[in-house]
Amino acid sequence: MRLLFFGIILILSSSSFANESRLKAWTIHNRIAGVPPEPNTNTLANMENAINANPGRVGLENAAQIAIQNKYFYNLVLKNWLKPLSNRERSKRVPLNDFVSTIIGAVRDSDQPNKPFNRVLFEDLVYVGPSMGNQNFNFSRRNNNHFSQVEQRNLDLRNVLVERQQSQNIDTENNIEDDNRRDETNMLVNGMNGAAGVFTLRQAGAAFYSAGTNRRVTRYAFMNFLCHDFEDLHDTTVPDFRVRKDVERNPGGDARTFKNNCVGCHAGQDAIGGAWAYYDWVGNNRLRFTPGQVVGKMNRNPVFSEGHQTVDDSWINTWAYGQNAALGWRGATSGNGAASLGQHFAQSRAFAVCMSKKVYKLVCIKPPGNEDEAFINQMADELESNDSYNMKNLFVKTVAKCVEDKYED
Amino acid sequence: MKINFQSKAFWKIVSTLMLVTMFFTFNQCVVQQYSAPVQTNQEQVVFEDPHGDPIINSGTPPGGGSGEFQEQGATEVARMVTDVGLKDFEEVYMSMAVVTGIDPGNNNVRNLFNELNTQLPTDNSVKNFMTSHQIAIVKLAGEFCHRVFNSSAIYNNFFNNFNINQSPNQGLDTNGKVTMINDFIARFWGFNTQPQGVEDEAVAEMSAMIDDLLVGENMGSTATTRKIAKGVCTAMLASAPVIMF
Repeated sequence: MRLLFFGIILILSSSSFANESRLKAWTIHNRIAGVPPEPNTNTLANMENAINANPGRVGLENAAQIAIQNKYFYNLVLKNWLKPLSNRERSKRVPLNDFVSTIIGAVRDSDQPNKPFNRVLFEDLVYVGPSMGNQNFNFSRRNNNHFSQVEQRNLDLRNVLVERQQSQNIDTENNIEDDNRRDETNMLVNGMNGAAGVFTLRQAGAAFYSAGTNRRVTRYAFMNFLCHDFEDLHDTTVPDFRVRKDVERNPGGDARTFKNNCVGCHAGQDAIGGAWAYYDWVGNNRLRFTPGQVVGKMNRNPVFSEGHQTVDDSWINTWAYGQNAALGWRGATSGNGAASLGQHFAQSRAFAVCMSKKVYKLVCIKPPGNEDEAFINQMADELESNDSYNMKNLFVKTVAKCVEDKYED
Repeated sequence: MKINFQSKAFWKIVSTLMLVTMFFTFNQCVVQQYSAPVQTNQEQVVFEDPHGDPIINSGTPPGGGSGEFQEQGATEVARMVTDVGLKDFEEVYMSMAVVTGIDPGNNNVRNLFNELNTQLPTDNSVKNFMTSHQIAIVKLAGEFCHRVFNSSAIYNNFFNNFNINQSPNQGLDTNGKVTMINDFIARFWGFNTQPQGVEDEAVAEMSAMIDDLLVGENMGSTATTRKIAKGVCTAMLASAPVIMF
């Protein structure tokens, strides 16, 4: 105990180090992989040499390139960073699931040609583990057993995750039960492909489409990928023609409340949320896609009959103008379906900035301050450059910057 | 005007004044509610757009993500930013597994980890570090070290320089103690990675602890050496260089 306190005090207070390059290498490895370098290997020495070979930021980035190859970057740091995004409680203490594994896989492959990270928001993809040698643990659209087992067996996510399409047969081996039910769970129905990145994975269904009115999907999309909750975006100047029927126009007998308060969120989110009109979490076990058929809860509880009736999966980003234009929307501001909305999110400046800020907070263990704004913008620029969205590059450059800042004082 | 001290009305007024005074006095003593800074961007920005027509930024942009990127807290101290982090529950567990070489799937350590899970740190903020975290970390370190020094296959290959198969009389003289501690430092902390003086202080602290632990023990038994090693292992594995970053 004494040693623990002693160590904390010294780490917090000391400004001189036995071997600064080695300490930087140690810190980078712990920040990127969540664990120290394995004893009796050359990892720490190689990182130290990389730092010494190129003094300054470049050497630190080269060292980080070594650390990011560690299994625990995927199995630990990314996993626990992403788990809170996959559930309403925003908890790390949930099992691995398809939502998390898909984003981990997309980060891993983001340095490959034609695999930009932002495709996780709109492409027909899912990352699954290998055949588990037991049908109960193979991939299924009806349960999370497969991903739980991948985590329990501590399989190396760096190697085992493979990309599949949500719309295709993605069993890792024969899974008769799932084959028989495919028509009820597939994202390809009557020739219509409803896959839209992580928004149409099973875990998204469980967390965001269950019960309610599907508005939760929009809110968590904004929080997870654009770093803004609705209270940030509250704008009562937006036209309210898409506010749905279940929103009372005269709450508490005072119509001003609707115009001055409710509209601030509903005028934007209801117009955007039409994209989720064909999805529902059913049977408490699967996400169902019903193209052409609006799910009942979208038009449920019509307390104001003149309100907007959802008749298809069209969406309009009414927040693309006014104060929320600051999110840097690009391309068409309206469309049909979840994939086109996901693409709209993925192309926005807010997405690139959000990822840069989240990574900064993760590896620097502190939120970016005003003095870091230029760096965050630079990282967002690099993410967007040539549509590369290389997340591994973002991690490497961000941790190098933090470690340089930390030890230059 | 003459004041009637016997009047009920007079005492009512005095009581009310005292209550009002007390109210304002206490109100001033309450810690001020933290007002989050409002982030604004005054410039009009047109984004370079590789995808299509950009939307011109206009009006007042939204704030900073509902607190996700702001240090929360009611006091100045609570809002201080630090760049020292605490490992979360699984990072602590996996760090211990990596440096000891014990398989994280080992049922004994896994079961204890599952039992202690919610008592271990949830996030990486050192400001949230509590006594209960520290207790759980020490318990977990104790189990890992027990696994190391309970299996000859593991402890015989654990040290680079120290000979664990000697009795304290043979192996735990002054040099022997330093050799053992340095082996632990190299394995758990990565030799030469700590702020200046930490390793020297650790050697001094651990040497003193070994002396304390040896009191009343059988100095001719190799089992005693393993017990001592287990103690040093637990102290160093639960220490800041392993659980913080």
